[in-house]
Amino acid sequence: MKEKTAQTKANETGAEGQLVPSGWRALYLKEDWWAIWIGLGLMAIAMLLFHQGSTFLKSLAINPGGLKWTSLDQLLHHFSSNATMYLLQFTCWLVLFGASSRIMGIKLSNFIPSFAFLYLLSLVMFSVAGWANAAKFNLEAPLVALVVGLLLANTIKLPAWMDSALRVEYFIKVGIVLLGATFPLTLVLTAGPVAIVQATIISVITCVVIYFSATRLFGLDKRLAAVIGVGGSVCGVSASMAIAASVNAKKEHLYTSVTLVVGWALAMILVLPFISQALGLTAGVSGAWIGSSEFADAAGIAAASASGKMAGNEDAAIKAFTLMKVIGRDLWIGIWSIVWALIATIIWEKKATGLRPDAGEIWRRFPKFVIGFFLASMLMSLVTSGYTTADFNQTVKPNLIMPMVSFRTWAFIFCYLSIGLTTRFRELKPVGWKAFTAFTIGVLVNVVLGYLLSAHVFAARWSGL
Amino acid sequence: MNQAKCQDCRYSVLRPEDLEAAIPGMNILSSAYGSVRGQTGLCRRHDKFVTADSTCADFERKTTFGQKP
Repeated sequence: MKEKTAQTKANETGAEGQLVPSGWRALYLKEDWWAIWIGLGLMAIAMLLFHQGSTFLKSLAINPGGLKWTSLDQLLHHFSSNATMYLLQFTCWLVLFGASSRIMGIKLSNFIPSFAFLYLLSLVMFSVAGWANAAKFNLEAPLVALVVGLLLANTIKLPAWMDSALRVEYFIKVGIVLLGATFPLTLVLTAGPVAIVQATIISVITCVVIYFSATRLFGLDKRLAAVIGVGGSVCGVSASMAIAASVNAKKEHLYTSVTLVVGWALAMILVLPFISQALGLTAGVSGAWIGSSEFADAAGIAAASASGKMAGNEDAAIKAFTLMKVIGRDLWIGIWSIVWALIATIIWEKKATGLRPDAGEIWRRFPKFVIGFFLASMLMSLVTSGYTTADFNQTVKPNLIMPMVSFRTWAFIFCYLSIGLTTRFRELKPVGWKAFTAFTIGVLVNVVLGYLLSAHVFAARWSGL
Repeated sequence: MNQAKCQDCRYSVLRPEDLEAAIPGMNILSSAYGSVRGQTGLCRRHDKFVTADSTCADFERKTTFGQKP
């Protein structure tokens, strides 16, 4: 109740901060841009230290995930002998995420204890994944982090301020920019177009299936059908939000999308990696399939990472996923927003329409962190192009690439835990069976079509990653 | 000339923290702080989504502390 009062008061007074960051202000008030500053900033520092022959960053990028420990003493010894470096690393993450979050309007007094908790829990997750027998029991870090987060969030009443540092989307965006640093530009250029073709086929068909199932089979409101249609075919709740104003959607429509997307996305994180394993898919094919099946970046990376680990090549699965989801689907959200605004203004009744189509929406809604991904890929490809393969493997990989991989893994583990810790099932609104069924039909079409295209039509492309 | 836009209306929920508080679960796999949201916000009067530039007949300008509406 207190929160509601504060919210109303802030809106009525326009108290602090910019209500809608636009223009240049977006550069420091939107998390997409902060993901770029943090990702590229870390990369620039890494390159500078590498050229000076320093191994400091390599030490700072420490995590216990690769320990393969067999006794607790071994694990405790690792932490006691590296305590200073872990403390320094925690401080660096806290400064980067804390300062940027404060500028975006999040209270530091809430952020700091919440992030400290998240960091400590991440160490535990890394430690579990670093156990010598972890793979034998499928204790993959993303799955363990998700399950532990879900258990904590749904059995213990965590205080509301804990959400301050559980920034799922922010962490995944930073991780994807850092991923760009280990993503050869040639791969983006050669596999990117295939990903766009495959993702477009699937997105369009799935969206149409959900929309017509909802409106023709079940007689649901066309605005609700549009909101869950893009949610299930393009980019989850983010896409639903992107077209919500275009179609004049009501608040309850977005509630429905949130419940359906979260429910199915979580189910697919837990199921798709095991189905991929049972079908014997290669890591690349599995990543592409998950990239065309999962709605949200964070959920998809978790599933792709787990699946890749099971197939013995996490990197290939994450790369295929990123090409399919980020380049194939996320980039085009602004266009989806315009298309729905056109449908609403031209085909639907004038009274029911939302906004006039505006080409500026393509840029305004463009997921800017993708720019950071491309820049990171280009910069790293440029810097490392002068090295021979032998020099690259002996010097560049351990001292420059691997620290970037470790930082990326940290960002991802923060994200996986945050998904679980923010998912409080009791807070999700119930959904009618008609909306659930229409969405589920779309999910089934999406998953089957994604499998056929990834494992058969374009299999050669994805297997080769 | 100040146009009566939703961004100045007392019924609009546009700040990211307020938007996430108004829509439980939105921060699980999405974010009000991201670029994709653009200028989308929630109108508490009509219970529907609008953008900061939208206009409507029920506009009521926000007040500031100590100022009568």
